[in-house]
Amino acid sequence: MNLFSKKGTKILHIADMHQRHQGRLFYSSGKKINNGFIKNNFNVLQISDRDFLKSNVFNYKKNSFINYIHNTIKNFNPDIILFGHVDSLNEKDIYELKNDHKDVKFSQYFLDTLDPNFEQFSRHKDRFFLKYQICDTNFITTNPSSLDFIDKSKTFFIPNICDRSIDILENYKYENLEYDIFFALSHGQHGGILKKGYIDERVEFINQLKLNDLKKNFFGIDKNPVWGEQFFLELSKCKMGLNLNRGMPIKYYSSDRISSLIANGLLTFLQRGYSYEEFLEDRIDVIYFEDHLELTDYIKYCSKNYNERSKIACNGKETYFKNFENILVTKYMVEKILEHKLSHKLSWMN
Amino acid sequence: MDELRSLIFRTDRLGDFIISCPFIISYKKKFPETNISIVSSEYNSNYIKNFSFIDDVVPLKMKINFLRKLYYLFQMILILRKKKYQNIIVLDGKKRSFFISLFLKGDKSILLQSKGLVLFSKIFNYKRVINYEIQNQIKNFSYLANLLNFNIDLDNIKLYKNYNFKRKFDFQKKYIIIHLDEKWYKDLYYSDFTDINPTSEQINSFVKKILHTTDNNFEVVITSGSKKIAHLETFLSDFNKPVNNFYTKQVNNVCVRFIKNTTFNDLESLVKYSSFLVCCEGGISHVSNNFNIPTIALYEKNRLLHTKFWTGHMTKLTLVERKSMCDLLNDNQFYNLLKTKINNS
Repeated sequence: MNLFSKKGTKILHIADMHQRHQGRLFYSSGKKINNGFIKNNFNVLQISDRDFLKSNVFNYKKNSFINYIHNTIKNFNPDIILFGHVDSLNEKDIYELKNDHKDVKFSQYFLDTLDPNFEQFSRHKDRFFLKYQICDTNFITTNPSSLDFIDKSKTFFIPNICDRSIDILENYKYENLEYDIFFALSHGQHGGILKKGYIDERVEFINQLKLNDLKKNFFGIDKNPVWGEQFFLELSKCKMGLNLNRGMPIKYYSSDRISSLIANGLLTFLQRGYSYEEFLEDRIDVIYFEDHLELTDYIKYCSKNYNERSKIACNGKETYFKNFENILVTKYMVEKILEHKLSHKLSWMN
Repeated sequence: MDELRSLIFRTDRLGDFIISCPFIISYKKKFPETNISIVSSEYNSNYIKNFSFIDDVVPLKMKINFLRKLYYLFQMILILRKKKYQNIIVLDGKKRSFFISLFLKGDKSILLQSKGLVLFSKIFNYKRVINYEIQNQIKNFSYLANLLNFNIDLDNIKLYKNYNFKRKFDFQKKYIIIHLDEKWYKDLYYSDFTDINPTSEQINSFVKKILHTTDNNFEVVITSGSKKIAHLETFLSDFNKPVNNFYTKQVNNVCVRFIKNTTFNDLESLVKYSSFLVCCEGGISHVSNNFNIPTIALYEKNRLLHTKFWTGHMTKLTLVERKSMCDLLNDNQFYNLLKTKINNS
């Protein structure tokens, strides 16, 4: 059989694969995206930029990193190069790569918020724009139509994805779990521990909740966040989860904690204003809240009503996988990048 | 309250201005209260005044001696400095425009055409985008727009909305335009280009082939550029006596027209009502793109990337490699393509 008669799609995925974290972030979005490509039978090769550039004092490893990419492209001959948050390469580097490999489609995904009201907006925008001009397509976790500074013809929404091999918990099956409510925030997943003097607006909101008679499993407020298998262990002990974003609401944005909660079968509370109602129905798949008073009431009520809680959490998990599973999302990404007709049309796809 | 103003530099050719229009129109849509002034080349200034989204045109005189030019530049700076601008956008990336903009008041940005100004634009804190040739330049315009917090929505750009058309011609039958300007002759254009060099007889044959390909269903209008072409003079010898540079003759009982010294306004008006355009790639294909007129444009083989840089956004344009007129006359693929495109339009 001629090996080249059947040509599959080859993807070079350049993103942080967290090898230096020794498994602590095995459930990262980059990992789930990578898994999605494999599950779709795409031929995917990874370069973990931040692992390669570890201890890169004065940026001395950059040239060898770029050579490494060039050699990998030469040997692998990809159809697509997909960048994650590869902040080490600037616009000029990306241009030179593209100039040397004009037939390869360049794309990036950017998972952080691009909300103009967010305090670190200009830093996020600058990071996103490093590759934006040259990339043929860009994927973001905010609805592009909500952003003035985005070219909608080449920028598309992707949700925070879930993965059947990672998001395996089914908390809705258990009536008596150790904790009522789970919430976790971190001051950056790379450091992993809380930073001194760092103030997060969400802590103020959490402190307003009157949940004295309930058991709370909160991380990132008084105790350090948990990672790796420990994160899933703590998650498995909880009936419900709280998804709380920083900043002002903006259409479709959420941090990736939304998938950890809903896709693992916890009844999840979502803030109103992000238009997730278009995908997840209120009181059918999740519960939406307006303020801390409403949220307090919902948490108290649902902690005592197993049947209702279980039904919503189960629906939520099912709906989340039906819409946002990595197999669907990564296939959509590849079809968009290669300008193919969409094989599967879901409401969030444009 | 002071009037809100923005200043855009586009001091080069007509095609450069036309391809910039989606950027300017989108800017106006985003900031409808702003008064847009264009610093243009002297040659383009009258043409630009036809567009309603431009409020003011400042012509830049360049074809004068050095001392007068310097005097003129400083005079211009003094006048422009009297106003404060919301944005000063050096869209042509020219050194002269950058130099003038340095002295003006407002937020500044530049679409860089070369590496020459990268450092200076950094030092003077301009928002900057490099106009990379590896992708069509609308994408680079779009990136600059994004840096200025607006978007170019190409699907909703109506360049000729409220345009001041001066329609001189009113033909009853559908027609195809052959724009036979100096670009067909390498001696009058780029000397390293493939010479198409159509002789008078070959132009005749080309017209007949096009008529034949389209089953004599379309008339043919031949337009010319500003440069005098000897072959065209011979070609016109069997046309009827001209009226106002307007020649006609019958070929296969179909009217063939020739318009001598066609102005750009004439071309716009002609293209607007045409069914098809055959030309060498240039400013006219930007016009046909804006009217959604299917077009075949001849391009130079070793400049494909550069051509796509200019035309990559044009959905109705088909590029065909330049070849000698003799080869073009025998190129059946060309006529098949023409037939298919006309049938599909």
